Amino acid sequence: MTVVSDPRGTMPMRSGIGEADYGTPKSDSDVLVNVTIDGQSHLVPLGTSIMRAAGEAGCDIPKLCATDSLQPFGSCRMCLVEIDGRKGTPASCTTPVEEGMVVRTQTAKVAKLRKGMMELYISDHPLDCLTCSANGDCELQDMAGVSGLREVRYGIGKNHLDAPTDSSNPYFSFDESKCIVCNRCVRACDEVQGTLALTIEGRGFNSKVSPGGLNFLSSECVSCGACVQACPTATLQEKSVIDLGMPTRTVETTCAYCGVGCSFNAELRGDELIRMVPTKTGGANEGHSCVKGRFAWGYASHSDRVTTPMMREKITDEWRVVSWDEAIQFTATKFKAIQEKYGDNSIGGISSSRCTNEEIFVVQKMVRAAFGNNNIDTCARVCHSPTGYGLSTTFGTSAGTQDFKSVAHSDVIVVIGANPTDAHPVFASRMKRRIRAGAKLIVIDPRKIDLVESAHIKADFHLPLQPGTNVAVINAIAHVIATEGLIDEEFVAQRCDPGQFKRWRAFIELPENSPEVVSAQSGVPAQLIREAARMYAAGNNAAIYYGLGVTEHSQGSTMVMGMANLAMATGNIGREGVGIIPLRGQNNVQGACDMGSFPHELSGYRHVSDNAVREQFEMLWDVKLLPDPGMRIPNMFDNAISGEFRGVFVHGEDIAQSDPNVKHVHRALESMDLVVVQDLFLNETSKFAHVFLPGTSFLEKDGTFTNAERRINRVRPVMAARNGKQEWQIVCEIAQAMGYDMHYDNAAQIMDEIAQITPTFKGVSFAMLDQVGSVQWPCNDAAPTGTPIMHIDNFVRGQGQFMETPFVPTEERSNRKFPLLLTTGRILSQYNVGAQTRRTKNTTWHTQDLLEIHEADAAMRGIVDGQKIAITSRIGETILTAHVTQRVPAGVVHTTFHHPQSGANVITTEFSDWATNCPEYKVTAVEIRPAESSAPATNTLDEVLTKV
Amino acid sequence: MDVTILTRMAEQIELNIPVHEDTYLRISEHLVKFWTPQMRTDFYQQVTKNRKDFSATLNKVVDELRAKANA
Amino acid sequence: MIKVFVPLDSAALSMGADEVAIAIVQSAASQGKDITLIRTGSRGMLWLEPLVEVETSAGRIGFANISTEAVPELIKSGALDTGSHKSSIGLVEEHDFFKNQNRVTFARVGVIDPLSISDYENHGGLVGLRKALEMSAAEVVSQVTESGLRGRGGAGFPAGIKWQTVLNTQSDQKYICCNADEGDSGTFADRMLMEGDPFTLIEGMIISGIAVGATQGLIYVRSEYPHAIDILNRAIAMANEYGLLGSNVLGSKSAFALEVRVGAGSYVCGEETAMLESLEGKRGMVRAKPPIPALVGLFGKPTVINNVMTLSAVPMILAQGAAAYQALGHERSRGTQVFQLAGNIKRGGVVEVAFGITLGELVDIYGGGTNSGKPVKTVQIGGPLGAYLGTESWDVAMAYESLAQAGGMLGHGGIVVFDDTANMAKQARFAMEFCAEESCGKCTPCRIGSTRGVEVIDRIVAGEDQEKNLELLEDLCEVMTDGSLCAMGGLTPMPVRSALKLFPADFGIKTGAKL
Repeated sequence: MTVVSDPRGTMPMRSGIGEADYGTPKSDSDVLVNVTIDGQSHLVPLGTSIMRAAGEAGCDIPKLCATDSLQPFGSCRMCLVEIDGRKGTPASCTTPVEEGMVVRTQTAKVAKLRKGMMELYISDHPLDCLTCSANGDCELQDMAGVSGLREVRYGIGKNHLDAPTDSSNPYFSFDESKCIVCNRCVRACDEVQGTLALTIEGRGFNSKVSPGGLNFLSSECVSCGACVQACPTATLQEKSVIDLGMPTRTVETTCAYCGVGCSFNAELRGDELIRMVPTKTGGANEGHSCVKGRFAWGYASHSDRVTTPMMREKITDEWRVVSWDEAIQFTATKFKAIQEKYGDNSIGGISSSRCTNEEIFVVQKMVRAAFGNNNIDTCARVCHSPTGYGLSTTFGTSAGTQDFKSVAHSDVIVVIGANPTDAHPVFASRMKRRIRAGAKLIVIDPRKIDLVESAHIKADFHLPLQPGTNVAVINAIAHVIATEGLIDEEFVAQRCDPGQFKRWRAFIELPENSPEVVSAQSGVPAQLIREAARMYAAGNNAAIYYGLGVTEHSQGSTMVMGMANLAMATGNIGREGVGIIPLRGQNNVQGACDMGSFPHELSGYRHVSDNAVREQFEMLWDVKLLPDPGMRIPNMFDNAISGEFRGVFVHGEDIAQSDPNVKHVHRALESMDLVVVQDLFLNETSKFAHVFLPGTSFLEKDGTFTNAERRINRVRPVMAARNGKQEWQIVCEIAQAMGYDMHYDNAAQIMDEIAQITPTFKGVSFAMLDQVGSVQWPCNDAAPTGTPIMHIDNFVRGQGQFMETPFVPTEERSNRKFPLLLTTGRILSQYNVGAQTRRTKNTTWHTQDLLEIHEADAAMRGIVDGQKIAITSRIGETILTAHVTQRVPAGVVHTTFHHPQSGANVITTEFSDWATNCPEYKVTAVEIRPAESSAPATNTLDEVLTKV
Repeated sequence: MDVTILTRMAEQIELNIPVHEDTYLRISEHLVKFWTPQMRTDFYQQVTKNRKDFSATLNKVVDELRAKANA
Repeated sequence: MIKVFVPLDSAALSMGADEVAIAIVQSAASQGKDITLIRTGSRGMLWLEPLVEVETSAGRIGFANISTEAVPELIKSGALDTGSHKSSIGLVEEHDFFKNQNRVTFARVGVIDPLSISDYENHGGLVGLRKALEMSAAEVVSQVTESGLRGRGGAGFPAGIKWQTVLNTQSDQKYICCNADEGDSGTFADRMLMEGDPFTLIEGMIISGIAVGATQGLIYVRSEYPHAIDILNRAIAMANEYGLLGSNVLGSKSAFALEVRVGAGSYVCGEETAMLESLEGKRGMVRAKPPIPALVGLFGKPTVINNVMTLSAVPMILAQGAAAYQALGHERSRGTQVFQLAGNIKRGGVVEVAFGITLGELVDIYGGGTNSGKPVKTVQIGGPLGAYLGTESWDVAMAYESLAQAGGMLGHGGIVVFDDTANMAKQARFAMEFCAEESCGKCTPCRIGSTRGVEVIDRIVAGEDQEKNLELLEDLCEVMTDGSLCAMGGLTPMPVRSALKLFPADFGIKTGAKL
């Protein structure tokens, strides 16, 4: 574990107690200029500010409004310097260096000005430093010290000392009386987050930071905390710091929510976590965070946490607390017994994308080596398995092609079936920055997501397609590109398989794929499709970002291939700014797939039938492996119901809530002889479990997560494991108890084994990651520093493979009985089934799941906003609260699934992707009626119109 | 496993793989790559028992599976 | 048919010019007098408004301070034919206030119908533009550079150099922004020109666009100028109609579009970078420089920002050649300056003369001393943040450098006169108060310092710890002058320091006290 002690020297730092602040962003220029600062000459990149040049040279210049995550602003005037040959005292933050410039940062003149400036600041600031929550971490305090201010001569005058404190946000407070109006919060909200919720109100002395409206909570603020991090004083302060005091040490680790994989410094005092501060060196987030990562970690110490193993004979029994030994012995013995009675194939395991690579690797190893079968699947089955299938078929690698930074070079950004501002907020901020700087934006989604129109962002085209018609629309876009001469023939000729391309071209040019035909199927006007296609093809660098709105369909894999076809046809692959990028839902979906937890693949996406590969594993593990694929999760359920599959190890996934058609899942679980659940909290699945093994939160784990850009980040234990064991230890102990010798001294050894056996991970080790921070696989002899962009000169599979993508409409269709289509999504403040976020103050924002329904559909059914409604599919029925809106088109309804009582999956169907069996969560035909009335809604549109 | 589920799965795969002379090969490859041996066996028996209920392609698929298994 | 001219300038309107115009038409009709009424700008002799003029063979004769009640008698008296009347000031251009002026920029103001392109052309309009269209961009810029024209907004930066920078900067889009946020106390030249001769400004902006490669111009007018905004909008519509503006300026390959944007009542938006922010639809907050707007200006594109007076001097420079303009002036201040006399002055108005006229001449000879008849105590030049100068500076030549040497600042050329009843401590306090009121709130010296300045001056005047507070005020003035982000905070100490220096007694400071 790496503990970074507080290296604060003479200069103050605020953006995390471990990181230096050079005041202005780094310049990317290759041109170096020579500048003399306080007698010493330095070579610095052109475009560097004097402030940064001086700071890098160790001559820190006082500053208050400058911080290197924001553009220079020049308001505090503390950083004034003298430059030979120039009159006056320019601000060093806003003045770039020039060749031969001679700067003096410490002169009598500037010292007097700085002191005078500080005297003005302090003339309107409460002098309560000793009891202030920022005591010891206040840049104003530090600058007062640096300026040598000894007396404030202004006496009592106009001031803001009685200004009120806004405590409305659950995580931070805004104490206006301490505000120095440096604008850092306002600028952070603009430049870093891109929400523009904050502004300065009033003029002159009356200037003040304002969230607009009543207070922070009721404002457009998304609680990302960028403003809190940017604040140099106690004005915007974490409530945890106010309550607990300043942290004294930091541990760098990785967030465990979405697939962005933000790096954070966990700031602690002793073993108490005080706050999480995103690190500027974090490759994925570069100092930014969202409300979940920064603030919603309190679940780790929630009283619901189970910290001791528990068992019961029957699922109707009460839980009994047992020792680790008993639980592990029982589990092993029972699994063995089942296998003896029903055969080796009768048990299996499900690994979790929430866990570390090391934990996942060990789980799949347990299944393959100790269980002796390939019945290992992962929850990626239900989210991004089509990504793996589609991208490996076309490009040769089951992963996104780009790093997140790449978006800064995109000219056209296409977002399909993803809602980044809610689900991947930190990446969304990057994307919005680029869009505000002029990139074009095309959104393909049934809903009017925030990106379609929000502050300073407007999609050039929004294609509001009917759920289930993705493939038709992507084919129509490709049709336009192929028939209007927009194909990058040179790229295709050089990089792609000519035979497949010919087949694809003949297919895609068929009239059935024309926008005019597709328009009728998808509801998107043909002209809109044509213009969007032209924009994509004409953009210099065009990138496609997508989410579960692509994959969770009966044609999820086809759609992924359709997007890959488009990128190949237009040459948008293999450089910065282009590519096909899945936005991964969970922190380690990528890792779960990489680690060999699909039933047909060993780590590094190598099929179990590959004898050479299997032999390597057999040698290393000293065990015989099966050459045929094992069961997928839905196969496990089906086989459980038919009695062939009787025991399962469920690692950190609540399948009884999150998998579709939960009634079916419950029946499967009830049919089994042994269900072992390893998790933080009792959940829906544990209701069917015989053994509950307590897990560790990300704050206790030691290992790595791999994010959506293939970046392997370290997860370091911030606090001791509450359950007394690392999860990989528990898994090893079960394997051992089953008679397979599996032992590691620490998680680093697991990664060493992964690296030894997985070519794309060959160069990875904890030691290496601790040194460089993070690395993107492939990381091996050919790419020792990792691979930010893939397929640069060649596709991993050799030639790019165009695939024909016929549109096969889902069988799940709206009809007379179920006239509406339900689709599902996520909201910013909550995460998936809410096991974590519901146990934090994030419930302030989203106390229940709402059903978004178009006002026309609502009116037709006599439904008003806020009303309880019953929603019924052919599978089941649940009750939700209606939110009448224009966000969804007529005919489509949308809900989230963060609260178990909503039971969204009670109504989702058994349909799934043809290639991977990823469930079709995104299309369910439903009907809706007011919950109070039991009579089904039978009003026809005509009847309603007559009434109106 | 319930053979009706297997049948549904196979028919869905067939629908999604475009029709060419090699379609049956691609389907059988898919089944070999992603289905457990038990699923393939069950499906083989189902088709060979009721050949007329299945498309010509799926009939060819199971023959191919058989040929591969024997090879 | 007699041509009668009645100003439509705001100053004249405030004295009832519209009513007078109506009365003239009605009276003439009822008396069977065949007249044509033409609305013009103002001649800039504001104490004579409403100044009605009539065209005679000898030239235009003016009748001063005409009220509606006086109109029937004026017409009845035959004054429109003879030019003689008790209100007659004789030939307007022979008036002693007018005849020695050198009207270059204001040549047509008060003379022509501001909304007649033909009138404009008949009086020398569009000659400069036509010449510019024959030249290369670089040649146009060098004409302006050679003329010695400097920015009339206050800073006096050479216009040609600014234009050259924009010309040299590659960009897909460039802008010409005219700063018409004329907010300084005692200034009104921009308004009078926009109301009295808008095509001169439009022509100047088109030439500027041709010179630097900009195709879009914007005029940022303060909201307090509704008449100017109205006239500009109408003039722009006519110019578009005429082909003066549009994709083929006067049938050439050059394109230029022009729009008026209205401010929102903020003084600091007259600062060029705050104006850019405002034009972009943002809060009017000053930007740090560098980068200069010539490189990174409106929407991040290279932008020429010039004052109304600067751009309006350009058509003449092109029409008559750089040398003609360069021939006028004093030392490094070339050409003419439109001085504006205001405050406690007998003859307020516009005096356009070459640089170099003395301050005393302007106040005493042109202005005729105070309106109250009491002795002049001081004048403030260059707006509310300009320095106070006393009568000992009467011989200072009015030009950028010489005025700076005397501790003053030309600014936008407004001169506000105070008689000996003025309390200069109150005026110093007002400067700080004005800054506190109008500061954009961005930089600390201006945001907090101005409020503290008011408080410290109050303490000095109240006699509290005078010596220490005077020292504090001086320190504060230094912090504001050297530390402020823009001229708003940076110049506020000028009136404070000069008032304190010239009139310590007004602050209750005993003679001999250490300052």
